[in-house]
Amino acid sequence: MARRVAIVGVGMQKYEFHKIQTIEEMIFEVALDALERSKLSREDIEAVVFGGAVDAMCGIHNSDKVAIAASGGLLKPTMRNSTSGSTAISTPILGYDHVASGLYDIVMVLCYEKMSENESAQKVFSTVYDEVFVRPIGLNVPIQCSLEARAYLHRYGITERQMAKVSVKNRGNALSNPYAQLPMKLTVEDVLASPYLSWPVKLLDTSPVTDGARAVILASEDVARTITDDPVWVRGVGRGADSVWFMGRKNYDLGRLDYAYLAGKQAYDMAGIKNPMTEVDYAEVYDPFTYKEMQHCEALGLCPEGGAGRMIDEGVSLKNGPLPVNASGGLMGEGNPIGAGMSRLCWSYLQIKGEAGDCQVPKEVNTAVTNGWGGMYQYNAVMVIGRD
Amino acid sequence: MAKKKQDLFTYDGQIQINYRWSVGQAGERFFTELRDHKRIMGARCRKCSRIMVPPRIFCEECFVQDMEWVEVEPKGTLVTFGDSYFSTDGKRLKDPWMLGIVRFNGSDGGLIHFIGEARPEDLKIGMPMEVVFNDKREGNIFDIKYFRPAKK
Amino acid sequence: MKDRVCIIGIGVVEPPEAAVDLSHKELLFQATRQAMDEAGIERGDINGAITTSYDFLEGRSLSNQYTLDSIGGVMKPCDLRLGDDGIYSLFAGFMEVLADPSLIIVVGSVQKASERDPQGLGFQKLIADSMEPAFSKPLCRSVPGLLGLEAVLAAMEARAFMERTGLTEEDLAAVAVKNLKNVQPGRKKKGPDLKGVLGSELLSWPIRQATKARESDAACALIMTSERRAGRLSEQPVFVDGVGWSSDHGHFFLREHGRARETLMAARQAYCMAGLRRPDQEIDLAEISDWYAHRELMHCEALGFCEAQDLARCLDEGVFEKDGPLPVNVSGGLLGRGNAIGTSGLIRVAQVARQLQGRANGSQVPGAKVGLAHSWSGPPVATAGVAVLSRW
Repeated sequence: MARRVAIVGVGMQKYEFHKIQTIEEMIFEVALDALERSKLSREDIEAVVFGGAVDAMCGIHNSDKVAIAASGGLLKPTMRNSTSGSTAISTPILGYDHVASGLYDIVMVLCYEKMSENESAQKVFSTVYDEVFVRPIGLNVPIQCSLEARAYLHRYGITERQMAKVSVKNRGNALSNPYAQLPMKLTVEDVLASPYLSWPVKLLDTSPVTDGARAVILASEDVARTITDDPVWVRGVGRGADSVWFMGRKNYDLGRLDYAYLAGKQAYDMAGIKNPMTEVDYAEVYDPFTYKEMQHCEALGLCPEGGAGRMIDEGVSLKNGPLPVNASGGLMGEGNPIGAGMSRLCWSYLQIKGEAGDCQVPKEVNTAVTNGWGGMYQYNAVMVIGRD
Repeated sequence: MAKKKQDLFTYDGQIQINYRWSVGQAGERFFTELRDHKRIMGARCRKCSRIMVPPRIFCEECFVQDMEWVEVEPKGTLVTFGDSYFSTDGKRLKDPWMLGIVRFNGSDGGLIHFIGEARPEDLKIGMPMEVVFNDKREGNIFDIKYFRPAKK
Repeated sequence: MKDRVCIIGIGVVEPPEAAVDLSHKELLFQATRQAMDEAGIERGDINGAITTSYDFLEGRSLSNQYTLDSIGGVMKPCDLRLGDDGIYSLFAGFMEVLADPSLIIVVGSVQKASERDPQGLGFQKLIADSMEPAFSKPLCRSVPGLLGLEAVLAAMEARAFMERTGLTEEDLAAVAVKNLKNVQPGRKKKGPDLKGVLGSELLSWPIRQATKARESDAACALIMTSERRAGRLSEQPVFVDGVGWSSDHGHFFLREHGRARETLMAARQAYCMAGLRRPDQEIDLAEISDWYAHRELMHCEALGFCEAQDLARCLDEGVFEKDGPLPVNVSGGLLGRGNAIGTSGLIRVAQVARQLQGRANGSQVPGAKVGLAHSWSGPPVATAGVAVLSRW
């Protein structure tokens, strides 16, 4: 039967466009930080789970292997997960499996990505597309997103102005985040005036390319209670995935993330949450683009379906709002090293513990939800964490 | 790769992406010393006194970041080696190229590099080796030309 | 009572020659369908799907996107892809079922070596590509003949192993002879003898063409669930009693060559879980990585089948032969069947499971009750996984 699993520590480092550290050095830094914060030692770690999304980004095949020793996992069980952007949350879910199964008591989860060393992130992204049907046509990420964003705006009447407000919020929130790559004081007009990558997605609607890593230490209930008297439990996990054939899906347009609703429901059912809008205190949702934060808020039930525009208009998701979203700055403000989007989970944890520094939201936080998204409009992994 | 069958559709392509990799914080020092002073630098963990080559900013055993730089003699023992007669154009070479791992005296770990001035039959695991540096050095692993059996 | 983990469906597709006519999605679908048919389930019964793949081997970044349809994962909790050999999907599935015994999980992997590089440099280039970029990669990428790099690295560990153990080229060749002979049942062509193996092309002493597995195409899928569900679904489930996996240093130059510590640690974990104390006596058959002939012997030592100093004697006495006390690679191994890199580890599990079901056509080990499947992820990493299975 599943044992209860708690997060007992996180490891952080600054996100930057280019870090001179190697992957090995980045991983060591966050692993050590997590150990120090949780007052554990390398010997305590029983297994390691790596999460790195795209080897072609760093140009190292099987990239986790260069960091075996740096992770504290030498001659220990190590495993590497890689599911595109949802790696951010599907990896700690794999870590959760390690402990919930009863096999391990203390697991180190390490997510990383180095995106600065390839000649062009766009060139790397092009290797993602189906080589027979899609790659030759020259699809790229901006157009891929515009296909989805256009469908979303059309379906629910969301506006570019509302998208822009999300960017203002997140980049502004990042000003309080010491690890952030791109904190910015923006106005809605600044965002609307930024150049289009592909309508409706503009430059300031997108997150940057980043080097960075994060660590999370998970522990079984017995062990967690010896480390802290205020454990933060993994209360629910959910994973949703849809077909790679996005051209003709059951959910006939890309505006509604059916697979994300699925993942959210799975996580909430497990957590015993029936009404996220009232039972979830805080959220760090995956926001590689402004409209994605909005779609995810809806799919995670943080606002009614189609209601994300109203949510930002009414200030619900602001730092001092009733349901703050991405007070850390999210991917847009803090940085988006694909696999290391696990930072969203780290910040949810810090908010619950009251350790989020200047990013700390004024309201009490007991329950938080995070998610990761990726693939060809395919994956969503969701994790609900909180106190009892 | 399979031969193309006449009646089947296939799509040919390759992934060609160029990279510019960082050598890392430890690498910066190692290659600077190698280029400027023909010195092999190791990192000594202050906690366990292990000297690591290549140097790293952390000791993975003690799991601490408490290192000091030490120079290591450019001599060591041959841990293992292998030879090959393959060349780029598929023709068989007359003289083989060889790779070996040498553990520098007094250090942990080692470097993998070419072996020169020797034939495979001259080599034995455990024999003393020394570094031959390149006269023209640029701050990369090729500043070392190769290892050769240590001259008495 | 603890609910044990079981395999209730097995699907293996090993085309006799390059599967140019099938896409990788189609290959994996066929394997999954086979497994589902054996388990008597349909897509509606699947609660999750886990795959393994390496982006660089496929030439597709986020290659996980492409397997999800084939493995029954659409609109399922299917967001898990391991960047390791296929046997790792078994490990993840094992943990998921232990955490929730009501689940039915599909685990699978597909490999199409035939889609890579005409000069056969595909995997060889990747060996250098998987190294850290400061000290090893520039060097390994610059060797005069990249096609020779894999063999040189393999030779380095073989030499160290032979130095330590006193094993000879003939001993290594005997492994190849055994495995190539084992894969023969039903095939017309006879395998080479010792002389034939020792006469095959020398790649880098002691690595020869006949002592190094060639690449191949294959797909494999297994259906996993708990004991309580297995009994009602399948006639012949197979227990997964213990699993273990481990990694030694990723950096080639830091390792103790000639000693498979990663296999040792993985086995230790699996044996502990399965309650095995004397694996050399308690295991009825083993399918282990013979990527190179010397690796089979390194792994026999690390798995506790035999001490280093007894390896030569065990070979002479036929201990690991098909009819010996501990048959190793009775399927023919990678040397005999080909190495579908990244999938072959899961296929070894399937082979052992078939043996325990009594359905290993032509190569059945009579009365097999406990079997071991092992996988090594190949050069230049030191990563291995072990699974101990037993009869229902």
